[in-house]
Amino acid sequence: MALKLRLVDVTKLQKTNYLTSEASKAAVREAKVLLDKQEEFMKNGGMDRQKLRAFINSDFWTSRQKQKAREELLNFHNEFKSNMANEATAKRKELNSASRLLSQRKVKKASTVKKRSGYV
Amino acid sequence: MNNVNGVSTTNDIKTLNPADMSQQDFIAAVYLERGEMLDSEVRRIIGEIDKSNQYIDTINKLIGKANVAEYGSTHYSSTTWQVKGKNVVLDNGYGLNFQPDGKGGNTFTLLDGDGNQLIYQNQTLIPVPAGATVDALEVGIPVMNDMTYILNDGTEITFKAGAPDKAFNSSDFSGGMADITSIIITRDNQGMKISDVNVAGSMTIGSPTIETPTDVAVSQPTTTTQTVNVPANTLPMYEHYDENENYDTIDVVHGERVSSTWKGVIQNKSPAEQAAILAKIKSDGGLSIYWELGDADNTNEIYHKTFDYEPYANETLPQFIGRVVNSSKTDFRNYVHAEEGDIEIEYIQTDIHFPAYSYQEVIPGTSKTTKQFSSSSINESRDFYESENYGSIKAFTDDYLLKLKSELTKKDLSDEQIKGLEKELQTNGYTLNLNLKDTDGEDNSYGRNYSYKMVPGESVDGFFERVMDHSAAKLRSWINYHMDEGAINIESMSASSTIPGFSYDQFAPVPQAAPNANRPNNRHSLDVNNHDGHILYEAGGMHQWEYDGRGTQAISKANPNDSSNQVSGFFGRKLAFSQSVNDEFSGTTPFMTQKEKELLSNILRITYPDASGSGRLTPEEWVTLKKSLINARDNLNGNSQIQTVQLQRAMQTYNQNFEAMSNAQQKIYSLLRDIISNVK
Repeated sequence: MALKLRLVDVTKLQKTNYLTSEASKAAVREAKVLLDKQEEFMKNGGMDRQKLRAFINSDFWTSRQKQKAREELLNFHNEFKSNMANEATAKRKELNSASRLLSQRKVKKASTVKKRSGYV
Repeated sequence: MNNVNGVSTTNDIKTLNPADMSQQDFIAAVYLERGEMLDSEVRRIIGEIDKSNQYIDTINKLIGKANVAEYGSTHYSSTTWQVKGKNVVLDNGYGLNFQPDGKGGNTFTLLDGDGNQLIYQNQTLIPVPAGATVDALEVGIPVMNDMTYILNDGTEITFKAGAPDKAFNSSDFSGGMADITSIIITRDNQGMKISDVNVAGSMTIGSPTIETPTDVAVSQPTTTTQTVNVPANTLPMYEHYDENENYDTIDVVHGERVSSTWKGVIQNKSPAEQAAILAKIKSDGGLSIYWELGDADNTNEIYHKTFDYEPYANETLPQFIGRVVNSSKTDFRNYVHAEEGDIEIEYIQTDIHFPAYSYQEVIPGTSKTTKQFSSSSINESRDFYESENYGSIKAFTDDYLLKLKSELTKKDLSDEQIKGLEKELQTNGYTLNLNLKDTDGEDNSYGRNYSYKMVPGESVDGFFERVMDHSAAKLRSWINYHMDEGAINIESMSASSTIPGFSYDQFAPVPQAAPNANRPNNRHSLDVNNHDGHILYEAGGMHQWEYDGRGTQAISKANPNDSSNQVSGFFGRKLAFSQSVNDEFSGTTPFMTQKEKELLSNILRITYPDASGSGRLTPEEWVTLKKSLINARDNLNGNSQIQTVQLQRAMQTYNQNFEAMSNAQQKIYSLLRDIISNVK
């Protein structure tokens, strides 16, 4: 009987919900630290969102500069979003393959019907 | 923290001198804008993750409840709660500890396994999440009347309130607050009471007790016994030996026949019956066995002798009977040999005489009706055309036996009927009438009736086989030996007998223990005898309680002084608990809170069976729900992982951006030099 071997990358297997939520909580904690830093930076810089917008949109800058800045921000945003989407897609694929590896697969039984030779 | 170049800390953009403005400032501002953009993105993802984690938390709690419902035994066989000094340890991580409050009473803290608390002090119950501080007025639940807190695992904690110092005044919401005087904790058939909570010195923590469930179906005895009186009976053996000249016939052949016929019958008797027989033999001083031998040598001579035996100590009935047969057969052989010398054995008969005895018989414990079964007669005749062979008699009775057995089979007797027939055959017996017509010399007609009683322990078939064998042997001996017929010409034979009618006992079937549709209600008397009052449900920990379908913090009541106005907060709760109520919680399994029901129906969109319609699921319904919950958790698990990598990716960019802004302003410029040159 032919034996099929499958290699399983255990690092890609689905984690338990406890580990997952612990990991996500840790990520959130880290992110919150940075959010606080950014907030403080803005405060120290004497900026808030509205003022920043007003500053960028002010008449100190030429319309070309402003246009360029907007484009740059838009590009940055798009790039950022697609990076995140790529990351999510990669993770989704990983999860799919992990759950596929974890689930039991039906083994197709060899057909018992003999092929006819053409001669009776 | 370094300031962004050119942006002062005065918080006012107008103070910047436009002349000092550089493109670098603009670039820095754009970087800041990037940061802000990232900021909102990160906050969005964090919000999603928090929500997922919250759902997973609730789902895990629900799965925990389902596990309690599925595996948790709600019937205690021994106490599981412990009292250690002023601490009470309950099941599933819950606990209670008391402290004097310094004002003559006690405070106490209810804890769950996660460290959340419900603290009682100053006539108020204050839910406190683990590791947090709260404002008692903001979250406190006033003690005004009896209230019961139902924990996730179905434990009921009833707080009995004393009389308020001052009656509740609905115009200014003052007064009405009362001390907790006693606490009653019950879970199914386990219960305990803590009394005099309001008096520091005399508070007593009672020991937990277990009560036997009151409504367990009374198990009906399925069997009972009755006394059976067996009259004195005989274990006979009769065999025709056709003028056998060998003395071995006595002990080897006949002795063996006696043993093999009755050994099984005696062993088949119940141990109780064997013991009764043996006891009776002992008290009678022994048992007798009768031997008789018909000798045809020269003059016909009949030898007979009775032997008596006493059972030894430690001898069982089968062992004793075996010894009786073995000893007597040798003794009888020697006796006959001494008297007779040469021998022609016509027949040998043995009778073992059993005394009357009585024993206890096991019968079904249900009602019985006595029914009748009618008799039937069986007749058979056969021509033998002047057969000269005495063996034809045995051939005929063998025939007759087959017919009789077939008649019995046709009756298709039930076990109870067979027992009735056996009783009848044991008490009144069975009589077989045999007739034989002989044409040798003068015509003779020989007719004999043979009566037998069945021996208890003998099977019906075994009995009739014995009857036919013995009868054939007896008739042959009768004609050949006693009537001195000699040569024979058997013209015909006939037999007739009646299978007696009998009465039998029919027992009603033993009732099957009907599965109890409701779980047994094992409520402890402390719970039964005390009203629960206002009922609050644990909603995720000791710090969250639901009353009337909403969290205690969200309770609001119409202002009694101004019906268009709603009162919320502490006074809203005072209004809600100001009247005493006598609600009863009668669940024995975990229940679902309003919040959990909403999560399932609105967010996870899980449908589940709920016959009660109120979230009081049966254990079976919990098991069904658990499967959906585990699926939902797996889905959320996947979602949460995707969100986490997105967040991590976002934070990478965020970090770079922040680093660039705060620590490497020079880098900002060089990085964006291209843009700047384009901007020019």
